[in-house]
Amino acid sequence: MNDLIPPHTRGESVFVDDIPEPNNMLQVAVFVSDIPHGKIKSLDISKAEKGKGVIRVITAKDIPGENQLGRIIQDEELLAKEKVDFIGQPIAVIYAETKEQANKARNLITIEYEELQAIFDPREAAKKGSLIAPSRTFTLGDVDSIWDSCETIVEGRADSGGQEHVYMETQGSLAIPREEGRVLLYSSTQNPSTVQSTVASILGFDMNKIEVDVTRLGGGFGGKEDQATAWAAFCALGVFYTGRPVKLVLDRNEDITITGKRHPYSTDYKLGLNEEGKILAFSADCYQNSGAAADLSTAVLGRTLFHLTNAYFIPNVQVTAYPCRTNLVPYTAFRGFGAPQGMYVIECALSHAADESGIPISVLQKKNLLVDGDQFPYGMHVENAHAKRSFSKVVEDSEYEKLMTEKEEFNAKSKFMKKGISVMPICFGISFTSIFMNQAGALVNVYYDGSVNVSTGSVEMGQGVNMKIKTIAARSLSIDPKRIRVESTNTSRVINTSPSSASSGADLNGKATEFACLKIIERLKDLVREKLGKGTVSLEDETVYLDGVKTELVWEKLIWLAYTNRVNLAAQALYATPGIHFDNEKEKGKPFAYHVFGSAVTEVSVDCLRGTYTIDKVHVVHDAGRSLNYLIDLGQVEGGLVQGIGWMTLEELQYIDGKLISDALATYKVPDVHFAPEIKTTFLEDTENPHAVLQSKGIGEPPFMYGIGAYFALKDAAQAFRADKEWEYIAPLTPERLLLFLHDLE
Amino acid sequence: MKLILNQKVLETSESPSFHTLDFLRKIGIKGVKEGCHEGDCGACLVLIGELKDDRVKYKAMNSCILPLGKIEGKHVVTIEGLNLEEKLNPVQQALFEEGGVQCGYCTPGFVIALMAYFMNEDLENTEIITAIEGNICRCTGYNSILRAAEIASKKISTLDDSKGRITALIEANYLPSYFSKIIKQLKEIKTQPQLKKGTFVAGGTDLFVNRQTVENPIFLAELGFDKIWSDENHVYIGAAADIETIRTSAELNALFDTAKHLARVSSLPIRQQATIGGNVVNASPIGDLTIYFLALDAEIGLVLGEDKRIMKLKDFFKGYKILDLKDGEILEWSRIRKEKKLLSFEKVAKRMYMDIASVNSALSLRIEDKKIKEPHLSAGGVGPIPMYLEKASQFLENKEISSEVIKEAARIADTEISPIDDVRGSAKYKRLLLRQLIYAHFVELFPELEMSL
Repeated sequence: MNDLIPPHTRGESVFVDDIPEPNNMLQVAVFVSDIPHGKIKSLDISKAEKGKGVIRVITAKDIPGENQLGRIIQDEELLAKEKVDFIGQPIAVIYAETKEQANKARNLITIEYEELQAIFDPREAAKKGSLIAPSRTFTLGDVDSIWDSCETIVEGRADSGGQEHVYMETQGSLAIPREEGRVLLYSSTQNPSTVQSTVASILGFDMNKIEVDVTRLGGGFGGKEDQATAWAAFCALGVFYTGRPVKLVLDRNEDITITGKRHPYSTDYKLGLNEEGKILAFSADCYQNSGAAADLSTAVLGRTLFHLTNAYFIPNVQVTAYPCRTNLVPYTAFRGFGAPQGMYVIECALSHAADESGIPISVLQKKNLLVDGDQFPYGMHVENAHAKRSFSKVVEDSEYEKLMTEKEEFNAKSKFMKKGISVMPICFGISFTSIFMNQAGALVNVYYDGSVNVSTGSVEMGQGVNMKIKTIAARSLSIDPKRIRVESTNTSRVINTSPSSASSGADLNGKATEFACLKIIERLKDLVREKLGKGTVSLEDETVYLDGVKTELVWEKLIWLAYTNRVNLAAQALYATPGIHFDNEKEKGKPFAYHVFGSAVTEVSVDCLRGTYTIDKVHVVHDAGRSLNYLIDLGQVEGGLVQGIGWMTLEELQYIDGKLISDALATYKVPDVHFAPEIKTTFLEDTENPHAVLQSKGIGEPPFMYGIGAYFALKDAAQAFRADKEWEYIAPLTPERLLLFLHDLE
Repeated sequence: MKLILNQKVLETSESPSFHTLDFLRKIGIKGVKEGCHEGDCGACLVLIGELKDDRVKYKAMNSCILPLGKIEGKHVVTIEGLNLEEKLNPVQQALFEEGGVQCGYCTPGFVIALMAYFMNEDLENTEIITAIEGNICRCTGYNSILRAAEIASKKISTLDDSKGRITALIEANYLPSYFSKIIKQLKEIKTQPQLKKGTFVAGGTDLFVNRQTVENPIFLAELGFDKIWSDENHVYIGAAADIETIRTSAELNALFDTAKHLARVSSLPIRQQATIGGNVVNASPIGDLTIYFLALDAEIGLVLGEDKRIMKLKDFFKGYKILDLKDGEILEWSRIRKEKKLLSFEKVAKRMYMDIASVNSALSLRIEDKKIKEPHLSAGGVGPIPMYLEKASQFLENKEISSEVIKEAARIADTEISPIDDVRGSAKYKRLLLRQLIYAHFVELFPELEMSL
């Protein structure tokens, strides 16, 4: 269980908007662009400045430091100065006594544009040379020399849509003025140090003048990795100009409209098989819709390339990806970080090849699964592969063969209701693909009453990292977890944090916690030897043993003894993942500490009369290493899976001329309780992982990609109704797309 | 105005149009969360308790679209008012033990929704999943929440309900003891008379979306417009009758499968607030209730002072959001003939539940001597108004059912509609979908037709 959950059930856990509001606090409204591309000819804020309750209105020229948000590539203004590049781009910020007054004043701002031609399609952008950064290519073997020897070759196009995060808590921040112009920021961010450094640079401050504190997030999913910064910056600018506390929490519609989402992709693929179904060659050109600014797009693009071959060994690969600049909101991190988009493509290609060759897709998948020693296109060799194990186990556990027979029988008898089944194996690399980010700090403080506070760089957003940290600290210190409190994430306690993302939060911060705890344990052991005499000292269940013999020294006594002997009871440690490297020139290296494997079988029903469907059941066999917390890991599997299914089915970003029209929860539909399938999850046993803390494995992102299986199960069912028609690989497979496939309109 | 908030009677001078969510958060009740401010996520659910048949009945409602005036004199319970001093209640405990909580932001809403279910022994025939169909959780994938709900249900089902469920919950120490005093307080609390002039508000589920508001609201339910009754020839549905009341009404279910038909309208909390009158007068081309009653050839009663008039529902809609309604005139009721007919209701949206239809449609008819009699076909989402498909209906009259007849009816229906591309689907899709839904009506009513379509 997760011991930290009870206050959540009582509504007592505090999110940014729940922090008691300080006296004199100002509220914020953000004035944004309503055209996708244009030069700002004139901007008039004078009426807004005179609005009731308005204290201050700022525009780009009021920014004291750098007007810049970009973390990887500096190409994104905080406030548009001369030109706007997408609908929803912030242009001016209004500070007023109340939210209503700020919103009213926003309507008093007038702006004139000279409209410029806008691009929304990534292929069009690529054609016009509108790229965020140069394309990247991963190569293994030589595809060109192989095509001729392939028995089956399929070529096609696979498109996947974007995805809105719909973290239940919208983006927000509260800024408090401190002495000497310093600012304390409460921020709903996955990335406290980026908020700190970016806000500092915007204000023209050193980082040490900004303190960021994060207690928890009401969901993040990547949406608050880089895109939480602007809201914190607006609050900090308000403090800078007014000296008063400032809060900005976005409305849902605002949040959906003006924050980034998962990147849509459009890809051309080519896949070649031999007679038996062994994949000989695979090539792909991926057009990533990056949006109007880099944000994290280049890193997301990298992960797409890393995962384009999913859990398969392919000897000849040539894959290229283009980050295409368009006039849409800058797309950003979202659980899986480009990997789902890549895996979707290879699964489309395999499905296409199965249709073409007549070899069942599950046979193709199984035949090509990774085994130890196989090489990825990026040069790394597979170790501790569980691809085959998980695949076989899920086939066995779900009684796949029986399901297939029942499905065939059912479909033969039923005219409009059709069942479909798919298997979806996954392989996901754990580590930030920017090597330097694979570091984390922890600070462990033992108070002289024996209670312990742990601070790390990881942010709790529902993924249960705080409970895992607590468990790691308790095991490392051999004490009751009840003595341990995991503190908020605070840039004054733990510095230079990497974001809580890439499924690495517990891995990195947990290991740093272990290191810090062990430093204290070493000091305590030295003390014991000094006091009780030489020998082997050990701690078990809060008791000190000397040469295996129980002593009188229990935890509280030991700590008091340490304190009175002036032993340092605070320890800081840094963990940096060893053994990883990557050569960006050659696109080869060992970028991941390890890989996570697993497989899922998905059962669906399609109502071919109405074009509607249900995702009935998903069987998952997942490799979680030695799980640190069964219930937390189960929750990550179930939640990630359902989010992945949502991406493939219902969740559709619909735009008209660059304006998002599915901009509310009434029109952007995420899975509800009726839509969620029944899920049966089994964790693989004997999968100890020497490359992460206490033999565990990262778990946040990999299960998301089981959701891709829903798409192919639906395709299977739909084709049982329309075997005559060619399939177009477009996701999400909404009821509209499905009905238009199932029936021809006269 | 006065209301009971958790264990305290509270008096406020806030406007009756003020949103309950914003009011609660303003006075420091932070367990109630804002997720969307339009009734689509359930993070802001509260329990509203009122006197019914000398008992206090509670239902979960979306406080974000609930104007304060609608809860005047009632008991409002937030998560703070459910919390026990020393322990978790069975719902909270089960959510904790089954992993039904991750980030925790949606959790208070789920607890409220499930407690609403458990506080009503009448709901035992309803599936527990219905209780949480208005709640969105983005973290868990819902399986753990359903597991928790089942466990809590088992625990609570062992209670002795002989003195009523609420008493049983209090005695088991699953509900704070102050709940026993609420009935007395509700009887004593004074409410103000309704305004004489202002804007009539039925459910308010559209009027109060996204912090929109109206001045001087007059609440129709308080004026007694919320009843369902019948005389010899008709069943009458008061304009302020909520959808859940309609869905479960004995009068309607004696004639049709209304409980099943309307189960997919919105979510339980919204069905308990939204009304037929609002659905009709809102004139949304896609209103589920309007489409349903159009196919029952409903009539409506309008009242303006002493003047009353009755018209066919299908004649009420003149254009996009334009009604045959005089200034100050109120929709009093809708009525249908009290006769059994075959009735089919179809709705397709992205999501099966808690979603607005891309296209919805209803069809009623009788069969006499193998021939179709009195067919009425309606469709929503395919034109500027909720559409009664006159020509297709006329075509079906006196026809023997065959796949050719059905296909021809669908072809005629297609000439009557003018769908547009919008967020609910392309015009092309909506045309195809209506055709399919017309086929679906017949497959539902006459399953033997399936193979010929």
